[in-house]
Amino acid sequence: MNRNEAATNQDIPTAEGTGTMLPPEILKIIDIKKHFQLKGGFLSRSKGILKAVDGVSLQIRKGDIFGLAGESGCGKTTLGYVAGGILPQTEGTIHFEGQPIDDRSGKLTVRDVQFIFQDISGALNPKWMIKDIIAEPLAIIGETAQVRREKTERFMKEVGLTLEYLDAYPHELSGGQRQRVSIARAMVTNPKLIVCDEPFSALDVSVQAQIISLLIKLKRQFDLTYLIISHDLALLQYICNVLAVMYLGEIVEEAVPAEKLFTNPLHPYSQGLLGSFLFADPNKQRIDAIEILAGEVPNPILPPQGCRFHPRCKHCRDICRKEKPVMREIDPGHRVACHFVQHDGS
Amino acid sequence: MSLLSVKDLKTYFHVYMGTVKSVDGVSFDLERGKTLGIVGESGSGKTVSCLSLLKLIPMPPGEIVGGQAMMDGEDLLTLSEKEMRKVRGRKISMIFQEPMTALNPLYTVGDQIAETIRLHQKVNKREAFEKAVEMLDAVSIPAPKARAMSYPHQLSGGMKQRAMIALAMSCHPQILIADEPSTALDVTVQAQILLLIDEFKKKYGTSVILVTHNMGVITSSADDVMVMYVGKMVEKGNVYEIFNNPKHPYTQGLMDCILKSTGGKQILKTMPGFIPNPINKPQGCAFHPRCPHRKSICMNEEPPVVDFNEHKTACWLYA
Amino acid sequence: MNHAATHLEDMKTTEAKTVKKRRESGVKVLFRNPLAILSFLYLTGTGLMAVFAPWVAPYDPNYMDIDARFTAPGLQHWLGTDHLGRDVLSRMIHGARTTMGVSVAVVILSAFVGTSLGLISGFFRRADEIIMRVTDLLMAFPPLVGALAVMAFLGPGVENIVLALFLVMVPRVARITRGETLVLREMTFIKAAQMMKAGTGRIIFRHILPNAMSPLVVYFTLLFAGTIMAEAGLSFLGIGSPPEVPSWGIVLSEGRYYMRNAWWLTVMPGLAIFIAVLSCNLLGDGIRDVGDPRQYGRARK
Repeated sequence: MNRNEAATNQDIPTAEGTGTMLPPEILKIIDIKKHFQLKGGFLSRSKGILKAVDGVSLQIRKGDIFGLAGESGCGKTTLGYVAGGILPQTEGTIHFEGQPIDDRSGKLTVRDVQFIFQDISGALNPKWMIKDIIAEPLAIIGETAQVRREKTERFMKEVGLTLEYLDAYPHELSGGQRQRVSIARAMVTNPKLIVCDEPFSALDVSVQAQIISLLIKLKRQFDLTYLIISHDLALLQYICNVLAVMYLGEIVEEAVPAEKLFTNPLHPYSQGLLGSFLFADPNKQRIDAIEILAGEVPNPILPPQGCRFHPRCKHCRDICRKEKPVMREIDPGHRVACHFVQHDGS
Repeated sequence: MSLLSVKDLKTYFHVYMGTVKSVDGVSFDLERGKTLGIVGESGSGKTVSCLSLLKLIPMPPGEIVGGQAMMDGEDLLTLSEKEMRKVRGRKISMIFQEPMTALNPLYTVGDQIAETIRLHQKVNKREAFEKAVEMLDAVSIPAPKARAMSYPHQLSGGMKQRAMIALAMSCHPQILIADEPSTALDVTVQAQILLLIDEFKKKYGTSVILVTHNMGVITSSADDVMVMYVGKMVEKGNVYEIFNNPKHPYTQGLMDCILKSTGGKQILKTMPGFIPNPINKPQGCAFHPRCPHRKSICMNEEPPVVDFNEHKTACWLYA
Repeated sequence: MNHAATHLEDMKTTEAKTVKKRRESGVKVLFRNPLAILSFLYLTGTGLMAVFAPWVAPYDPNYMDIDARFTAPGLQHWLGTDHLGRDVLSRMIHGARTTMGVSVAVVILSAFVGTSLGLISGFFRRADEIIMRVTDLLMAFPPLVGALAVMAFLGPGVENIVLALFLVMVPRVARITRGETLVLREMTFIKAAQMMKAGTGRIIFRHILPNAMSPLVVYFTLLFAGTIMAEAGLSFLGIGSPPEVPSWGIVLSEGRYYMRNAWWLTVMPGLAIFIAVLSCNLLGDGIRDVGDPRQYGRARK
């Protein structure tokens, strides 16, 4: 590794530019809903419905790094699981590479979608050796031992692990190394889409940078598509070319390229989120000088009527309490669900 | 004169594999009404340093091997457990990353705060409870009276952390130690909590020690910053100095690793190597295997602390 | 920059070596625990004696030497003789056959059946309802009372003891396995496996079982101790193995009338039971320390 080997995000494709040849859609989800019945106690009476994802549409194109931002309880992880074909959706349709995926899960395989988790320690079986962990997806699709060994060793090298760790157990590795193992496991089947659920938040700063660079390197090398779920806006800004902001099960703003959302956030929630986010620069942000979004995410079982953000919104008017805003395209590639955003962006 | 002056603090852990020098000669001063941010990656000893001040280290395997921590003319490290109990809460309080570990689930929030108040002040039960409600109000908990009568599990994460701050601040301590106070919280709530701590600091002149690995938390709240790397201080100074003009190669590397702000395409650099295992720390300067400016002396001798006008760094580059 | 690279390489190799050094084999860890070794030796010794009883035992366990009644322990009869002049040592060696045999059979059977039921129960919602109601029913009786009831119904006999104790132990194993399964099921690595579309069998046998195993093995050693005691208890009460089949419980039971004159008749089998039970517990503790690979490098008091 060389200090000068810097990862840049310049060659991440964006929909901007010539715009003539958009890459093909890899994942398209239309009006997805995912509701959970909350079971009560002894007599199993239903206590309510948790609408974790409530009508979300989005499309991920080949080569995208699609960022999904939002606070806890906004349904971003659930959406990631539904999009990856793990949780069956309650309503809506999913197309993967143009093919519809039925709600019977099992249609998408490890060759299509793989996952990387936030819980870096818990994601690896503590009783297994690293070589078996990395080879597991291959074992599941029935590859031969020979292929498994070759690919495991190859991808261990790709993610920057020496082969001495083949026989190590997860607890013998540092956090960064464990995340590398997770990445190698996700990569061995050459999947088309990798869903990363908060892949960096449990890592140290310097390790985080290494893992970010690794993901960008792998993307370039293997022509991958990522769906990255995170609350870290600085990171999403750095790595993503498409960004969607979620609030209580709905997408409130979406921008292609992602930069539009940072330079010109339209939805009051996006503005509040950006305003409250602590970027590491003392010259710009001191805690007593920034505008912090007040309140907390309400209980998702009883979401507010109308626009779900209205109790925390400082521009809230009558219409917001009654009517749900629809997604509108404000300018090409920039969509927002708010009653009051005009085309000039106010 | 500074409020708290820590000199050459050493805390070791004796484990089966050997001795882990978690904190190995750390010195710092805490000024009245200022926030000292301690940053470092895992294993840097930032949390252990703070826990040592309150003697909250499990002993054994932990042991405070040496150093002193002077506050109001007494050395905190030599106090007996009984004397220490008077210091905790009244002079120094602490809040943690996970508020549930510090709040008792079996008592209402108000009762817990009232009890702490009664432990340190001569007031009767009712007065203490009223004060508890005042504290909850001061940390901007809506309907403080009702909230005082709820149990911790009935509060949201942000509310719990607010209640935790109310508990910690209830006896107006001179020092508040905040160990990753906002890490488990959402972005917006995190900022709210940090603002709250900042307000208390200004209102009561409390000094704050803010321990975190999150650079954004440091840059937004700290006045002074101490950067730690495997048990040692590597750089210390004013927050602007540290972030605008880092001197130690580790700090410089760290600055290149963090994503600083919106706007403009930043180039993310990575530091080579990894944080060493604390049991076999490299000889000399612990950072030398990863350092681009390494000299031969770095591999053998520990670097001296060089002082540039209140901006200190432990590096052979400047000696 | 070459120079820097070598330093980093150094750092990496030191780290990799430390990883190797930190790991010790489980056996080594077990061998650091002298009590566990002693327990292991005692139990294997007893087990071997039981297997080779006809060759090891100095006398026929049922041969009555009326002239040598109540001989105190000595050179002729190491552990003395009983009221019918039978050699106590030989009776105990043959008794170990019954006692250990019953215990091994019960533990193996209930471990196998109980673990399977527990895994099924922890993994499949529907089956859980049924299996857990049945175990609730079986566990409503205190262990020995339950076994007594079954024995009273079936009558004495070694196979019947095995069946009775199996019925008592199996719900307990199932419960513990189910608990472990429920905890493990929620772990991220299980979710990860599910997301990779791993089959149910793979998840149960490759992921959940290995991780549930260490607490279970510890439980099995305790179960073994419990079974030894239960078997002795049943035989002592006269509804265990028939008198012509010696077991530790039988020897103890027969000797109790002569406790005042012939102490060895009760002390010797009592001691054998006591040490066996203690050994199981100590061995269990030892195994528990080994079972968790994370323990290898841990601090010891």
